[in-house]
Order: sequence, then structure tokens, then C-alpha cells
Amino acid sequence: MNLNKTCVVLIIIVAFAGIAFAGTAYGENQTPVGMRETWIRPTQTHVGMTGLTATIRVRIKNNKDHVQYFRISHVYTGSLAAGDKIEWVINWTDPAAIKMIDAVSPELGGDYGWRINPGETKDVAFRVNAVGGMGEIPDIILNPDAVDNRWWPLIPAPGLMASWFQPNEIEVLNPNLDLKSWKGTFTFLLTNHDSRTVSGIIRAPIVPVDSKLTYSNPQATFTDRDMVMNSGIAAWDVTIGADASRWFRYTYEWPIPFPTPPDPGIGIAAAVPKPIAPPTPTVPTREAGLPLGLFVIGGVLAAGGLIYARFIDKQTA
Amino acid sequence: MKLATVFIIAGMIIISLYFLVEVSYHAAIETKIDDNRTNVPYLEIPLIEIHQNINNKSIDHGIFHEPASSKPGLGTVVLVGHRTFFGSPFLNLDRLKKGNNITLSWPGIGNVEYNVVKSYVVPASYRLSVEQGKTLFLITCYPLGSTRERLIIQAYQTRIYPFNHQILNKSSSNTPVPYSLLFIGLFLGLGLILTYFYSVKDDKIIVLIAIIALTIFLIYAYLFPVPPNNISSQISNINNWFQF
Repeated sequence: MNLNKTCVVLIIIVAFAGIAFAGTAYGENQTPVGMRETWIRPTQTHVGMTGLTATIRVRIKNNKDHVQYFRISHVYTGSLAAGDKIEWVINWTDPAAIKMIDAVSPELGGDYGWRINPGETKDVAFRVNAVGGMGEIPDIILNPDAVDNRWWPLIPAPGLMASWFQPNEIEVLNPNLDLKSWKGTFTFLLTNHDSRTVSGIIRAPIVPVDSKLTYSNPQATFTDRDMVMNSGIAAWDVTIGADASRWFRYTYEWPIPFPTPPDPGIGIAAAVPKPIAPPTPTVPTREAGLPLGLFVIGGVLAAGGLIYARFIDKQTA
Repeated sequence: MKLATVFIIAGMIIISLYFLVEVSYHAAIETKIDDNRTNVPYLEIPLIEIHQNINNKSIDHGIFHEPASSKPGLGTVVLVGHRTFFGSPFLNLDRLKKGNNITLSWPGIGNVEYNVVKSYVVPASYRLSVEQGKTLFLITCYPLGSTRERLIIQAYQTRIYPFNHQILNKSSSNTPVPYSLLFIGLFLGLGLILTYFYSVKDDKIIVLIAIIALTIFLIYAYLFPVPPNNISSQISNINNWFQF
């Protein structure tokens, strides 16, 4: 038996099998899925929202040893579809906000904010109203990705979704500012543009997560907790006549208000010592790799044996 | 039997152990793959072509969610993955730069997007705080092929949005590549090439038999996968003896 020929034949078989196998696997991966499916477009909603306003009350602390500014954002893009945004103009502020030296949105009147001294806790309030989409132009909030629907005949109501945000996301943007509490009241006007009465579920257009719905008018039919984690999205079952409109108003608070502890009474000193803060939990950075040292030794041994036999051993033979 | 033959067989046995880790790992995940992102946490980094499930069992099962850390959207998330072998999920993690996007799909939460803010290298003994706000940390070994240090990618959460079943169904229909069989083929191919070029005719049959035996061993591991962490821990121990 000629071992060299056997090796060549086996190498060719293995190489061809490998190429064919890899090609098949790659081809399967690249096959466009869904080409044979029938796609239907979701119907557009007959209702639109206008007159969106937000009145926000915030208690915020500056944890840094130098002055910080807390600024009002004019443009919200958070959880909206790519390219979508809600633009706001400021109606009023309390206490009066000061104009910033620079502006992210000069076209919306420039940026305003409050000066917070080192260690200071400040209560501020402001009211903004949307302009353009959801301001004067009836609009809806689309699920960023729910463009098509394949589960015919069940069609979702994509125009009646909610957007959401985290009230304390300010702490992620600027860890020196510590948000203590947040309360937001939102209003919007729902209008039916169709020539017939329509019915459906309407969800609050803007919802903070980790927050509690403390007020809604009309009363929310239910709070949707399935759509976004840690959120209770106010939802209303509405029937609205042809060309009719209806106002909606709702309030969320963060953090979720806890029951007030009973008053210990006058004359009782607050003698309870402060608990010692537990150490910050940490995790080890696990070993995440297989050292290649032994692999290199294996390669050197095999290659060394090959070279030794081919050159050195041959010379000594 | 020549000394060179002993060297070659010893070298191929060592190399086969590394192949055994990869074959066992891929064979294990190929048999229990579940790409439905509404059921299984999923990490997506298009820039470095990471599209992989996250597990809560072990780093040796792929990308591992550190159980002491939070779920996305709720706090600091820590994910650890191998840089080499075990599918090498974080092989190209060092290519991530400030501003790159990372998406975590998490059951009951939705898609959570992060933006890379920095990457840095720390000693292997470093302990990471899991109370750093809504931040994602991706951790792997550094440098490549060593466990001396750790590479950490830090990213801030930017937005959360719900699952899109249309996209999920498109992506989950992809057939997984049978990497374990490819690795077995690669090992056999390398062994045959080695045998072909081996110049000691009397021992050539011994080398060929050893290669075929090791290949059968890998096929056995493919059919009946063993936990790759057992093998890898032994390899790591030997590497430690050599101070690699």
C-alpha cells in the first residue's frame, strides 16, 4: 500500500467535503427568510394626537463640589422610531430658568436651565408643549419596529403605542446630579379624522418607567405592564365619534411614593443611628480564554519532529 | 520507532486536546440551540459580528451573564466571554471603539441598546463593581491567548424598545453552521498533510494510525459531547505549570 497516495486521496476527500460542507452551511445562512410569505401592511390609525404638553416637577441634588447646571431638553428621541422626535418649546419655568451660553436646539428658543450650587438640592418645575408632530399636527407614536405584520388576520394597532423613558436617566448622563423625585403630568387631545365612529385602545404617548400612575382623566381602563419592563402604561378603551375630539390627562410619579411612616411625636429625638452602608458588591473578572502556550508547544513538537526527520535524521542515516 | 515520530504524535495529541474543547463546545450548543430571542437573552454587536445567545450557566457555554449583576434596564449588566476557544465569542472585542452600538435582547424586557464609552485593560485579580448605574460591561481575556489581564468594554444604556417579532423570526430561522464537524475535518486534514510530508517511511503508518485514532476520538466527542470546561481546566492547569 502506497501511504503517500492514500494520504493524498484522503486529503482531497477531506478538503472537498470541507468546502462543500462550509458552502452549504454558508448558503443556508444567507437564504433570505420570508421570501415566500405574504406580507400585509398595518392599517393606519384614524385617530391622531395633538396638543401634547408636559408639566414636570423635579427635585435634584448636585453631589459635586462645584456648580452644575440642570437643563431642559427640547428634543425627545428616546424610544421613538429612528428619525422620529418630539420637539418641545418651553411655556413657563419655576423658578425662572436662565438661558444657557450654548444651545443644542437654538431653533426652539435656545436652551434654559438652573444653576445648582455644590451640595444644593433644588426643586424646579417647568411646562413644555410639543410643536410639529403631536403639537399642532395630529400624529401617533409608532412602535419603532412594528412596520409590518405577518400574523394575518390579527393586526396590531401600531399607531397607538407608547414611548417611554427613565426619569433618572439624568444620572446616567451626569452622575454628579442626583435625581431625588420626579412628577410629570401630560395632556393630549385625541381626534378622530374618520367619517365614522371608531373604537380601540389608546396608550399614553409618553410614559416614565419605574414610576406610578397617580392620576388619569378619564380614568385609565387598564395599565399595560407587558409592553415595557417596569412600566405601567396608562391605556384607555375609547369609542370616539366622527371628527370628534377628547382630552386626556395623566400623571406619573418617581420614585413610587411609599407610605409615610407614622409621626414619632414631638419630643422624641431621632436617636436611631444611621445604618452603615454595605460595601459595594463586586464580581471577579473571570478567566475568559484558554492559554495558547500548550497549543504552541504541540505545534512546535509536531513541526520539530517533521523537520528533524526530514533534514537532521536523514543526514545521520 | 524514531524519536521524530514520538515528537509528532505527542504534538498532535496536545493539539487534539484544543480541538476537543472546540468540538465538544460546538457539539453541545448545536444540539440545544434556541434562537428565539423572546425566550433566551441575546447579544448583538454587528460591528464584530456577534449574534449570540447569553447563558446563565457558565462561561464555557458561550457568553455568560454574571449572576451578581443586574438585568438590562435595571442596573449594571456584566457579560463575560472567551476570547479564544469555546466559540471565541469575544475574539474581536478589542475592535470596539467609543460610539459603537451594542444591543441586548432580554426576555420580559425587550431590546436594550448601549453605546460604547471606553475600553480598558485591568489585571486578572481586578474586581468589578456591579453598582455603576445602567451600564454594560463586556469582559474577556487579554492579550489574545493569555489569561494574564482582562479587557473591559464599558457601554452606557441609550434606549429600550420592544421585540419585533418579524425581525426575530427572520434571524432565528438561520441554520447554525456545524462548526464541530468542520473542526474535525480540519484536524484530520492537518494530520494527513503532516503524514504526507513525514519522511520516515517505516513510521508513516504509525503516524497515520495515530491521526485516525485521534480523529475518531474527536468524532466520539462530537456524538457524545463531554463538558468542555473539564478539559479546558486541565489545559489551563498545565499552562499554569509552564507559566503561560
